[in-house]
Amino acid sequence: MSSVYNWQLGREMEYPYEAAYPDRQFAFVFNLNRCIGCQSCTMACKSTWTFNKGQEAMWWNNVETKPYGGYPHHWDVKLLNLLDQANPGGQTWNGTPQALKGPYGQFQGKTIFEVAEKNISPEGAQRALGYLPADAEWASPNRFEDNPSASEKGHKGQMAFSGGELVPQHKTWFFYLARLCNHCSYPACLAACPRNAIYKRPEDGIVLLDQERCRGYRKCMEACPYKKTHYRGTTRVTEKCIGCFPRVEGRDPQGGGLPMQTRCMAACVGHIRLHGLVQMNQDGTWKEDRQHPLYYLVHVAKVALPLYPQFGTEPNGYYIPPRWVPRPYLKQMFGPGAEAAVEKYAHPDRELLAVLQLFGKDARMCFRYEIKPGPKVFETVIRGKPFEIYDDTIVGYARDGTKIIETKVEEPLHVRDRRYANSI
Amino acid sequence: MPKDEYDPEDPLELCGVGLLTEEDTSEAMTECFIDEFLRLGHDARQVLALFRNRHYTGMNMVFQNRGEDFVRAKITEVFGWWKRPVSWEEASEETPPPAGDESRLPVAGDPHEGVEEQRHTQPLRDPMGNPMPSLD
Ligand code: SF4
Ligand code: SF4
Ligand code: SF4
Repeated sequence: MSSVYNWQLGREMEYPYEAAYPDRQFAFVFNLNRCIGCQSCTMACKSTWTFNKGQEAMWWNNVETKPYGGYPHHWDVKLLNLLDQANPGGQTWNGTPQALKGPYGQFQGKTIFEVAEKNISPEGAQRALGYLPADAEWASPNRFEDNPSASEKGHKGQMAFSGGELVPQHKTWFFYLARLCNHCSYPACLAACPRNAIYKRPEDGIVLLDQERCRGYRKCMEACPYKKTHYRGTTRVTEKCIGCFPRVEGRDPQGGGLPMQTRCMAACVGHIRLHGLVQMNQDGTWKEDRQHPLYYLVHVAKVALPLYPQFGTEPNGYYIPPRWVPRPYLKQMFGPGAEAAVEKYAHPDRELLAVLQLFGKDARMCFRYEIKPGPKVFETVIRGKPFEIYDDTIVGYARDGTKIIETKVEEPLHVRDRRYANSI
Repeated sequence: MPKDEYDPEDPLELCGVGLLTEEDTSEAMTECFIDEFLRLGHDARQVLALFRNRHYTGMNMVFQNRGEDFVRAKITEVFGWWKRPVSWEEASEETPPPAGDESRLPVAGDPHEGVEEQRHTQPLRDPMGNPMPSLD
């Protein structure tokens, strides 16, 4: 085991390999307050990459309804339980937050790598604590979701969309959690692979699985805490999200040579997703890049938080937590920064309101933004806090400085003629 | 993925459950949804139509459990924070909704009430308000 620095945990941790960081890292922010669970992202990925024989139950991008749903079933609850058994009552945080090197304080508990040696399976110690889901757990990816179900038995011809009356109603809070591979900085899938078939690209940090080397041992499936590698029975090797790397490299003709957001990001109708490449320091922290929207959301506004940072893989997917969800649940899922993130999002300041306008505006990646100050529209008090609205203009630039976005905080609404409702 | 018959063996079958809890966060949820759609440029009446629409499960849950008066009051309150006064009188319920308005869909009450009737007496409409072919 090596000692590597995990800034999300604010401390060194054990990892089976030496630290190595890409120049830029694939990262994304999802605003869960806006996800409507439409699964357009899921279908964009499926129709691009996983529509072949043997890939039927494979959803590199999925959206699950929390707290009930999970793909595979109960993936997070199962791992949280395993960690709790390995380190009873010890999975806690404390310490003072420090910029870039520990914005959420320090994690006092143990990561999946640190407890792995104690978890002896018939094949010996694991490299990362995990479990291999049974086939049945990958089935029903939408289990416990609130989408319309099929027709009732004996009522042929009913269509689920004819009135929405078949939608089962959740009796409590819920939200949609959109997920894909987090292209982790310390990937557990990579750590566990006995064939060294998994690698992290130095140019963009995308984690890829070499199918020539893979022998289908499924150690990655056991180890990935997010359960984002998938076994394909027809080829007997494992596959995973490829981060739409041709688009990230700027090879999609639509982007005119500029890096593009992935298919699942660009297809999001809820405009909840913002995807980009962030600059990395040699010590694994993010390089200060004040005008990069992801840097701003994660390190300045601190509204976007990693998913289950306590697992220890340093995932590169960040989430703006849903405002209405009980705080203990959010803290478990997103770490100690959850309370402040919700508070900040519920009372956005001038810059945050402008940056939120970048979501979903252009399929090309935004590397830098500028805000042109506009007039103050009004000031008020919301839930006891002063609140001011300025009609600022935000401008987003692509990698080469091309202007790709220009929009205002008080954005006009245009309704597309219904004749063109489904045209793209 | 709607299809003809429920098949418990189908791994892609969608299903749902209700989980009872004491924790009612529907007020915070209501405020958030109103806020988000307001920021997207919707007016008060358009937001109300979403609460009435069964396809927006979270919003419709609030509408069914807490009633239209609660929803209207919340819309007025949140729009008020953003200095957008709401006058429900102007947006009279008597005005026929524009084509494709979501409020044409069945509204609150017994989830099955009126649905059969609607299915057979009116052309079915998809969520965009377009007529759908009959499958009977
Ligand atoms: S999310 Fe899982 S599959 Fe993706 S890089 Fe991290 S450990 Fe590997
Ligand atoms: S990044 Fe590309 S490959 Fe990965 S889940 Fe999204 S669409 Fe699929
Ligand atoms: S496309 Fe966007 S809004 Fe729709 S389910 Fe996916 S993440 Fe959510």
